[in-house]
Amino acid sequence: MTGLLAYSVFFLTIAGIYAIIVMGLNIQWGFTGLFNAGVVGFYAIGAYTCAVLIGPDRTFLFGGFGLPFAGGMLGAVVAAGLAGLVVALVTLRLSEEYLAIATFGIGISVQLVAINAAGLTGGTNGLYGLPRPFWNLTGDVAVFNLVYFAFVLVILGLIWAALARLIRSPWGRLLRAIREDDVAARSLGKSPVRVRIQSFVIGSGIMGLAGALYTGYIGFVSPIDFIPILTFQIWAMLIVGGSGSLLGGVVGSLVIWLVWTGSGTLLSRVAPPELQAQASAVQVILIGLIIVLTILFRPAGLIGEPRAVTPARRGG
Amino acid sequence: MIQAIADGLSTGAIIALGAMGVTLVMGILRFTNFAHAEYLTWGGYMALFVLSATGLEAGSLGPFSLGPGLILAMLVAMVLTVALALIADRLVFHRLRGKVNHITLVFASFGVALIVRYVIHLLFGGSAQYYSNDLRFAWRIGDLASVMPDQVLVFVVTLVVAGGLYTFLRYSALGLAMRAAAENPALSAINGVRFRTILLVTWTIGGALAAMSGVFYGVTVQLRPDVGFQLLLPIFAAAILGGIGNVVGALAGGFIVALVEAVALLWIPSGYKLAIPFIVLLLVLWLRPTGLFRGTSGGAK
Amino acid sequence: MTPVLEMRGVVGGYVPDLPILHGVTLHVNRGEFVTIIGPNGAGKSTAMKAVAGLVRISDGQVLVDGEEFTNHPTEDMADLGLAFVPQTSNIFGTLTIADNLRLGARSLTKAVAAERIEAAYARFPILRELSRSLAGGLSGGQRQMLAVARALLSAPRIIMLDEPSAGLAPNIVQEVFGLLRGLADEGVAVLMVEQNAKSAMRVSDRTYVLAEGRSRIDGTSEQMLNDPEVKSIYLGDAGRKRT
Ligand SMILES: Nc1ncnc2c1ncn2[C@@H]1O[C@H](COP(=O)(O)OP(=O)(O)OP(=O)(O)O)[C@@H](O)[C@H]1O
Ligand SMILES: [Mg+2]
Repeated sequence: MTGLLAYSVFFLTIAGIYAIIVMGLNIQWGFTGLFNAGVVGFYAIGAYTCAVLIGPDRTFLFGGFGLPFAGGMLGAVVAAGLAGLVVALVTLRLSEEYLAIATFGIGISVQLVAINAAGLTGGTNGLYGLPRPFWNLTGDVAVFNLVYFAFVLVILGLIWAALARLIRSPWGRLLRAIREDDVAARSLGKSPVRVRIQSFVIGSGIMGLAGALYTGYIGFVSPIDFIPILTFQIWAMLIVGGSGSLLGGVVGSLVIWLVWTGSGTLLSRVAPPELQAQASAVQVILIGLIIVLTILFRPAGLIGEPRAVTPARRGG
Repeated sequence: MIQAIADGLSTGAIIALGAMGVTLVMGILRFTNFAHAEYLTWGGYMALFVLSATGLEAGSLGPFSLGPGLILAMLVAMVLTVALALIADRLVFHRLRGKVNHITLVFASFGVALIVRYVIHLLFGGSAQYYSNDLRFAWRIGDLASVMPDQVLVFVVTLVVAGGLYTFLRYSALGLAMRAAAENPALSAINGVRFRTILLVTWTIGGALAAMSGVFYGVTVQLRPDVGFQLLLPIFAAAILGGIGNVVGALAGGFIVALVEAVALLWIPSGYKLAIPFIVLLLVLWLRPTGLFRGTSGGAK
Repeated sequence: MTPVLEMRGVVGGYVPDLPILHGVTLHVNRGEFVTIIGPNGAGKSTAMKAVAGLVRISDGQVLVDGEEFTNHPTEDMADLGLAFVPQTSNIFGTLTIADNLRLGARSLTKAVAAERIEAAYARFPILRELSRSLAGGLSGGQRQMLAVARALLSAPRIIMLDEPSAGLAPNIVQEVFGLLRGLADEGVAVLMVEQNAKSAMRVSDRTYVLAEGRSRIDGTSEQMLNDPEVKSIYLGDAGRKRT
């Protein structure tokens, strides 16, 4: 494979993993209106849980259970879902901004654990030498990359199909009713808090699954892979695509990942070496601008349901 | 222990100055502004900018590093931070207010926070900076602890500022109007309270306190572009602990958060420092979401 | 004579495209005391909020002294001499009673404010007794007194009250109604929504019946008191009888 092709496969695989995180966020925000400011935390929980479960046994580390990858994936979903459950239980009966603050805190705390709990996470060195699924089947990097890309696509497709069904189910209609209007949903005799918690947990679990996919792909996790800015990259993907739209989420993931890597490459070419660190700030500023401008001028995103990002305020 | 408490008091003051602004904006404008912590950073760097642009020395005042130059720079920084707060409001928040649900506004504030933090990064670089390289000597409190004179100054000034703000809110006509708007915007409008005035005054207070806090951080610790990011959770923990809209509560909340943090760090590895205010916050939300002290209303729905 | 306050075919509501008011037409002249009655949910409160700029008007007009006032900003009302006592949350519970009154007297000079507040205390002595305590601790009736007292402080030209008698003891109701009658006689335009229909109609000059977001019947309060249809509407079966 030529370098460009190999890079494209890598690029698309990562975009696919991000698209899965976006699906999780879409459940939470797009369909239920729950704000998650710590997306990266749930993603990292999934990635590390998977790494701990599938990793080889090492004396200086907790874990290393050597489970098959499917076990790692399952563990990732459960762990991230549980984290979501805890946050949801503490904050969901309160005003929405408390959920934002609490999830932001989760994002930071997970990063702290990743950096400091060396006995579990390997600290700043991270966890390395993790087995990669399909590796033994293929044995060749290029083939592995292609197979893994297909694997990510299949998972993405499955989640997509499952969510599409879920949205059309009575439960999905209830979600929308809650997003639009608490009172109406309550009059249907359903507890909005309960449904919100369910939605938040499902979304968190999907983010955890994406984390496991990342671990399986790279075979290595470290705190640098889970910097806080990732949360807002994911958010940009969601709203640029159009929150509330599954297709939009995938399109948004591609667009923003392209903008991110593209601007990174461009900056590293044009910026003088001594200003490289500062130049990378431009990438983040770009994400911030995309978020703010989308909210202001194109709240429905490229493909979203109208009013999905910004349901009009109801009542007096 | 005594040392931890002494350090906690100056950190607490810095958190409190941020939290008082946050609590006012949350209580009166009903807006949880995640960009607020970045206003601290902005204020700190604007003072640095004024010093370097004018070539002024930070100077000193007796044992304190808050000399005439830095005081002047801080005043200019306060103006520039209020300007930033007002510009962000005009360009972003005001256009959304009333048109979208309030959590979308919160989302937008995250976007603004990213922009502000990384613009600072772009302009000033990522490494730590100081207002002055002069060495200062610590005061010793017997054998128990040593404190920097600046820490004491920060603590005292914060108490005075909080007292002034409390008096303003409690006794002035404008303060009364702000408290009224915090409780019931519609009824205060019926009474002729103008939202624009309230908006302007609230941002002015919030921005000015944020700048002061940022400068104090620069004086007692250092300036880094991620100062605000690091202080975000402590500030919100303090504001929520104090009861939304309650300025004195925010002051107390700031000290509580900082003291808990300082004391906890005697046992907990310092790498987990940032998680401590978060745990305080979760506990408060879990046990007593209205805060330890009664809030005026606002923030919580 | 130009009415001080006039609503012409006002349509509006809380959410776009979902009007609660389907055409409210009424007027209040200078020195006139006008009552609005109607079943629960008829839109009486909404009509008052529409005048106050708290509910968006999508069609029709509000005129004050013959001048356009439709969707006028609420915050200008007080300066223009319009006072409004809403039906609910009509006092600031987190402020002291003294501060509630101070807020109502915002636009006045210090001396005038002190004088008016003194007069309010004289009228409702209990407020003076409790002036340093938080208004949130007041009983329903006391709140209502405070709300009315606050609205009167600015010496308005027009005063709108949404069920001011709610929770008040009968003798206080009479006192409040008497007070409003007195204001009207001094030239103030008084518009009041009341459930306590009979007492209200006895002291007021004219009465409107509002049902399903429309003004239905109106006349002098005396006529209306004896109108069999009004009685039936007030009993709540308007929808069936007249549509
Ligand atoms: N804030 C609001 N948001 C949405 N709808 C509202 C709101 N307030 C009232 N409504 C609706 O508007 C309609 C008219 O209400 P309104 O309060 O004007 O009635 P009312 O005549 O004052 O009744 P009452 O005698 O009970 O005070 C009702 O159907 C009510 O449900
Ligand atoms: Mg009513």
